[in-house]
Amino acid sequence: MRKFFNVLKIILTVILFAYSLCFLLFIFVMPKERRFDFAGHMQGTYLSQSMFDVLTWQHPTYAKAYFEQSVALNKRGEYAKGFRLLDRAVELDPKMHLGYRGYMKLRFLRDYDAALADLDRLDSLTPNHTDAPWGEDIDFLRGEAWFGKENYRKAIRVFNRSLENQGEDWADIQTFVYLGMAEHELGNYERAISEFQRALKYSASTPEAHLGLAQVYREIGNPGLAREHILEAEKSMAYKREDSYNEYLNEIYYIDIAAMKKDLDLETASTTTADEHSRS
Amino acid sequence: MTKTNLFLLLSFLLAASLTGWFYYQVDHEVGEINFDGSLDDPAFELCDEDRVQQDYSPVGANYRGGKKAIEKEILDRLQEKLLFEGSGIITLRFVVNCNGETGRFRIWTIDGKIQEKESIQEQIHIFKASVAQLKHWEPGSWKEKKFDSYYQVNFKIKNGKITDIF
Repeated sequence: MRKFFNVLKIILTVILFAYSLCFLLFIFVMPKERRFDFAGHMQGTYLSQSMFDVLTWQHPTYAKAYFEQSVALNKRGEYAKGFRLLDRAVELDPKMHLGYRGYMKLRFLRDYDAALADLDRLDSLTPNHTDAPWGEDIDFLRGEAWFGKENYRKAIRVFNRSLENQGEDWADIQTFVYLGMAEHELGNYERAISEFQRALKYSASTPEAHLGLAQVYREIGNPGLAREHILEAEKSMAYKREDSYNEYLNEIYYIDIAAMKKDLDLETASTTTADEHSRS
Repeated sequence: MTKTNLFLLLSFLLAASLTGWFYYQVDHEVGEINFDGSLDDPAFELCDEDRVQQDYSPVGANYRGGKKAIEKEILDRLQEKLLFEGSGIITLRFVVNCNGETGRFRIWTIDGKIQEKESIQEQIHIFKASVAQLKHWEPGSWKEKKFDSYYQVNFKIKNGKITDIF
């Protein structure tokens, strides 16, 4: 009987050690790409962060790991830690990560000068190539940064360059919206109308363009057209530009429409109801 | 203790520690805010302590009119009371519970070079008080069910003045 228990204890010991060994192999020894994928899929958990810590400790020049580890931190507002990691990724592989850092500085920090510095540097590293950081045309992002800096003339120049890069048919509709807004800011009402109309030519359901037109028409003393466009803006709000991470610079809300309707002596009850059902 | 027993005990302790560590690592996330008796109001309750949604998830909370509306409602009052030297960003992260109430405020501060900057305790109260005045929270929801959710607001500061809330 005693021999039986001894054998059982040895078997249990082997199983428990094997179990622990599997854990350790998984964390320290498995190919780095597989561990990277696993940590990426577990994004945000402490386990993911710990696995990236191990990966970057074992492979101090693994730029992708620093970049991926930064994502959850920046999404959740821990910018000092997140950007420290992202800076390291950029240091190791600027061509690959400068665009993302520029995008993050633009959209998450609204640090327009720093975003432009990164995007310009990326552009200089990739001559004869039009970059698309995080899937958006580099000049669209630079245009947004200049718009954020309230340098509307520069924004117009850069947004127009974005249209040249991509061709008008393929450009982001918001390029025309921003162009309209920038022209409006400069008091160029006819040009603003033309740019907002250009957005509507490609998609009649662009509430930002309708709202922009309503504002311009109200200012130039055409309340009839202003009313028409504010109602169209309200109807097309389901297609408004929004992002679950951050508010866009030109993001509009039902309350903007309600305020404009009030100015134009239009009924506002429906917008209040709509507001309660919107994401924002 | 025999060698067999010693090895069994060691193997058990190692396996148990690793399992506990693994469970803790999987169960906790960056940015989560747990109740802290020294900071949080015990009257603020969550509907499901184990399932607080991220603000960017499809069932995350929102404020009616977005950050633009938040800026409009609290900027002036906040500006007068702000204690911040230089430039940077104050990030306020908190929970909007399933009833649309706010609590468990935490604050992170960075300077213009994205380096951590110490938050002044007094400042936390000022921001908490401002956000607590906001009345149009839309708790996270899916179909008929309401969820607790995180929410975060960035206050961009230039030369001691708030220039943007987003």
